[in-house]
Amino acid sequence: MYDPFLIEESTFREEVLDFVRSSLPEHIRKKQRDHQELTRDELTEWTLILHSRGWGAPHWPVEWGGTDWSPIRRQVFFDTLQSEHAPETLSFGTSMVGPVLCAFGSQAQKERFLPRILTLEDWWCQGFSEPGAGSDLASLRTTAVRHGDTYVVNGHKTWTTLGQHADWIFCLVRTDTQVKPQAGISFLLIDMRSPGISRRPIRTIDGGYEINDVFFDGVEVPAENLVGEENKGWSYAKFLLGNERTGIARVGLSRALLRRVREWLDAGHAGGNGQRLRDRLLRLEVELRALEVTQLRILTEAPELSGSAASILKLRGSELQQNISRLMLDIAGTDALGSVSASAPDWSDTIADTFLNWRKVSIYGGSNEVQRSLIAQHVLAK
Amino acid sequence: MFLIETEEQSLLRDMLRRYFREGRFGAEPGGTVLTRDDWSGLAELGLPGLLLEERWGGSGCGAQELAITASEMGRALISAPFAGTVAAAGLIQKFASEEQKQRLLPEIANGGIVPLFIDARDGSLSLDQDGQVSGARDVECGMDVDLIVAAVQAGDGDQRVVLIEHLADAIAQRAVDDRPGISAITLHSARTEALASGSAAAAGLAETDDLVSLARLADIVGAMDGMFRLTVEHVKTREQFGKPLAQFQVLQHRTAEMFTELEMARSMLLNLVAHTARGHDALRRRHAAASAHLRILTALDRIGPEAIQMHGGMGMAWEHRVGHLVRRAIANGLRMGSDSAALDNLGHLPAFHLV
Repeated sequence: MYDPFLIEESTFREEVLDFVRSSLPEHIRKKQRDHQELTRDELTEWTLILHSRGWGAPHWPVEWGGTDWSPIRRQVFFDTLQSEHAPETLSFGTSMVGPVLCAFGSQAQKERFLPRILTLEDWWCQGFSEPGAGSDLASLRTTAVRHGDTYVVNGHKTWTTLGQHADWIFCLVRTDTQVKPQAGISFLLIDMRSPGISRRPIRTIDGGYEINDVFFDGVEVPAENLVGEENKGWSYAKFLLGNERTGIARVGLSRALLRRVREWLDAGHAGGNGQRLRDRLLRLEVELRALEVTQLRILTEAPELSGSAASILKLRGSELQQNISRLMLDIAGTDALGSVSASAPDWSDTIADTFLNWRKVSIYGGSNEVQRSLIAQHVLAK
Repeated sequence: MFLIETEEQSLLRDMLRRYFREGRFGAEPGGTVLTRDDWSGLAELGLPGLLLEERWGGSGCGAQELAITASEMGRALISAPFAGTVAAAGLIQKFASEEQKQRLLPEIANGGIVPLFIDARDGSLSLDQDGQVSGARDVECGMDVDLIVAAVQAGDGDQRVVLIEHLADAIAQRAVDDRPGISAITLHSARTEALASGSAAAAGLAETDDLVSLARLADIVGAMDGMFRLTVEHVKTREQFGKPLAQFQVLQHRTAEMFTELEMARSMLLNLVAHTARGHDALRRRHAAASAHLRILTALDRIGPEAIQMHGGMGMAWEHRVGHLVRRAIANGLRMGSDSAALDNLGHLPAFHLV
């Protein structure tokens, strides 16, 4: 691998490649390659392998088990893992609540929760969206009322990804109804085994169960589980959402997919249709490179991109991921509908589900429409 | 790596931006065709000799400065034979005799001689057995040319680089209506001197092609930057239905898309510059060039017509600048060749960045 932008990182990249190729268990690699959901045991197995190498949460502070890598090195690390079909650690723990606790949590919260995130002893999920609060997140209505040392939580969270496995949920809750919406929100950590919590799986268009409704009916939460200050939750949530500015582009994943498509075309399987498919592949490869260089510009703080950086990556990164799955679906053709023929590519039996499942990537993390509004705010304000 | 990294590069951009805003530059919506006097002014800023070695009076600069300069010219609608001059000077530096270099290069660098590179491998100029060149074609040069370096295809299919110094009696040059900076030239039995042939010529011309492509793509990116800025200005100031256009969400989102496309195009230009600046792997450079070609033309397809559309009727008016930026960028895109050509080029190269 030669990249004029990453000359200083080429040795490091080799080191990560060697590590992942020698230590990623094959059964996990294969499931991840086909975008199949890992069991809790499988994700724990890989999480512990990363943890024992000291790479379980490279973006955390060193004292809590992180590294002192530069932003570029961290990106190289994540992209290399992705492009080798290695699962990421559970993002709700390592990328979402973990960094919030590192930045705003009490010493006791850090000591209690951070080590168990690194080992996946605690499975975290996210309680932000509600039936009436999607893109307009600040209109959320789940309430937490304080009685002495306890908050009592009532409400309904939804789209809670992998909540079926979760031990803990970090929630945005309303603690003040008398102020403007953003000013009355707090960030609360809730034990999923608390009495009064129930969950209902939501089946998605790919046929899978990945997301859930979570209901809170008079759930008692110790006040020590409040993160930071009461009514400051909105700023912690913004920190959380803006924290992984560049990971959202999923460059490594797209690279791995395009490599598979290219290998299949190079093997001559496409027959007379090969040239047209190859043209589509080439365009997507170029898009990948454009995305990758944009990401590198952002990581080195290109001034013209400040403010809209994460949105640009989210937009083009999600589109690329979706467009690649569209190309793979077309290549599979009717083989994607069952009864796979001998000449079918090896993604045929999973790609239809993947294509459908990945419609979510332009919706979650701030829908692409929200991202366009954010970019517009930035460029029209100047 | 950024396009602008050093103090000098930032000074170059600011200086050009200021220069192209002053005086008569920028007065006409269709831009400015430079005169010989203007060219002498630009020579003081070091432009004609930008890439020449310092011993020939050049600035010793590289791909970054070339891209910065071409971008600013595109943005400011400056019609000057910049790429053609830089390419001609480069080929003279590479292939001419010591005597020719001493005589010509300092004069080129100080603006006294305007040279032009003409790629006539398409047969538009033909080389006869006595080494004389004849033919007619349009060139990107709005001022009188003093000297031509031409790439021609000889009868045996061999590529040749020839120098045409004595133009006076052999050339007819006239401006073309409504196409700023374009002249039609006719050459009648112009005497030439051979600079290079065979594989040396082919290798030198391959480098020249990449240089010219880089300048064209940078010019397009600069023009798109201009289109975007005008569009933002327009939607912020133009009011309809009692409020600025910028308050309509449909236009906000389209502005956001234009910006995103512009940044993707910028990234691909930067990628090409990075591969050119390091310059040690021709195949990777070719890949970066074809990728930039494809992606920047895609961005232009989205940004150009959209800039006109968002200006409404004003976008259609000859007296508004935005249409001229689109005209210029599209013309440069056509000179680059279609995106099918870029796909063909890419198709023959390994996918370096997948590995």
